[in-house]
Amino acid sequence: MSKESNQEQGSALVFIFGFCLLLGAVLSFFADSVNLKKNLRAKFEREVSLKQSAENLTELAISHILNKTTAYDAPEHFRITPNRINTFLSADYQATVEIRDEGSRFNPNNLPISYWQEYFHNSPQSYERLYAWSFRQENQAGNLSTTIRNNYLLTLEDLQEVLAETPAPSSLTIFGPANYYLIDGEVLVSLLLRSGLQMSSVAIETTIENFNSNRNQIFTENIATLLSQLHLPELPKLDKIEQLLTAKGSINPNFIEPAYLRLLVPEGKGRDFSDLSLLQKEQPFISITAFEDYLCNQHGISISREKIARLFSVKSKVFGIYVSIYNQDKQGLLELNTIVQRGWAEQEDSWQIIYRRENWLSGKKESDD
Amino acid sequence: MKDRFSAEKHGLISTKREEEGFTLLEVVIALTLTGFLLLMLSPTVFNLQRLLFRENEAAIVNRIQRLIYRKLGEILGNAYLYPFYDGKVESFSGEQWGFSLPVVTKQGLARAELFINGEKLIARWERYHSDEENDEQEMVVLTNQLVTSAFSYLDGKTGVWRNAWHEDYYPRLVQFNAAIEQQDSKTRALIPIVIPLKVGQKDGKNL
Repeated sequence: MSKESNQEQGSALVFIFGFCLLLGAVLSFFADSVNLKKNLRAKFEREVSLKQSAENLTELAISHILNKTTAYDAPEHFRITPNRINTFLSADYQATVEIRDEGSRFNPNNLPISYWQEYFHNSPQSYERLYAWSFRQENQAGNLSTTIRNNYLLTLEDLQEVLAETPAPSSLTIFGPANYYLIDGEVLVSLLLRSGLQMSSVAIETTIENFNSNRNQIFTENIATLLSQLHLPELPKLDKIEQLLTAKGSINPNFIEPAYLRLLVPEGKGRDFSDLSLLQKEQPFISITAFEDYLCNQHGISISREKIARLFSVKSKVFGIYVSIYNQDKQGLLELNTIVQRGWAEQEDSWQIIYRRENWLSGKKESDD
Repeated sequence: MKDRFSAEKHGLISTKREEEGFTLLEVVIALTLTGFLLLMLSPTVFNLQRLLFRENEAAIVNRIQRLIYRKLGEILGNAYLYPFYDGKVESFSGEQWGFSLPVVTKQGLARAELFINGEKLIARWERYHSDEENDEQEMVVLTNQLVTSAFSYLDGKTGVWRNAWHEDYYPRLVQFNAAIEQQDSKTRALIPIVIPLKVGQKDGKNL
């Protein structure tokens, strides 16, 4: 009697168990489907939120630069406190915001070959690769080179490729206009061509000769006046050439590296300017006169006031803003690199974003998986 | 009482139910209740398939929406402003059916295109000045279910939305409006996607 009863109870248990299993399978299917949709939406929302945070931090950096009331820019002014950064982020994330002066760096696109040779004298391979890149003929695979540079470093990826260094050296830049008082005839012609001017080979040769023989004779910040002295067969459009060429001081002595400064000042070769880095941090130059005094008193370098004013400025013009967002495990999620040019159309508080690169990092992929 | 329970526990005394089973009345009541329950649940059961189908369709539309948003954001977020005027790199150009512009990629400068081809929305990238012979253009079909779709561009200088863009400066915003044809032949409008173009924009306090 007892045995029979137990068997009957067992069959009900199997039936209920089977029913529960079926119900569980149906429920788990729904739960899985809902979970998948929820995860996809959550990842998308997180992605949008991270992008917006990076945008906000970039805007913060721009306003930080523009709202500085001091008459000069120095490394200390470009620091944003972590507390301010954290107000733009949720507790799950951390970020770094770096502001750098791009306009005071060595720009191979806009400097003569003689400067390249000097700057890369410790790395002749870099010089050769740069030369091959810049002077290669268009649509020709051979080793023939042109007399005027016609290929430029357009992105930071180009710079990495040419110099075979990742990341690209922080002492170089590819942004910002050329300085009239630092170029030679070849760079001038390349700038005229870059502005859209068409020139015959005779005109190119004459312009180079004219420019090189009359170099650094007139000091003015008016580009139209300077170009009119060159007797060009045809003048470029002023609004376009002014985007590419400036005669106003743009290199900030508070950010310049000794290796670049050596090229810019007379008798600079062989000097190490070892005290420059400390001065930039501790006692930045508050005016061009202060920098002139430094060159004269500390290093015995005399440079005309006109020239120093045409090359240097204690107000930076081209900035780089690097925003990197990472999670609590310090895995990088998103980096945003923005280049901002200040003071277009003669307005100090105006700016233009001239380059922008957003890059999702491996940390995002891992957390997505 | 104590003895009776211990006897039941050990199977010495059988219960009434074990001896007699269910009565007819009990069975009838149970069947009636089950019938009522099934009757009440039947619309849900019959609509379950339709519900799943709709859910799936909605999920597909959402996925397409997200994919288009991501690609548009990726392309416009890495837009490149060519700094020279020698015509070697074309600026942004756009029509109702698509646009193209230079962008920065991991491999360097490339030209990206996003265009509508019939029911397809296609994203395409091609590197500028590539030396590699095998460097083919990359192409992705984002969807093949578009029915009515168009791009439009906001002119930051005039504040007017335009159907085509051939200026030497960049539009402030790019908008994509579209509808998707679902499997049941119904069309469903996507939420308009509006992406800002940050590069090339001039800003300032007094502007």
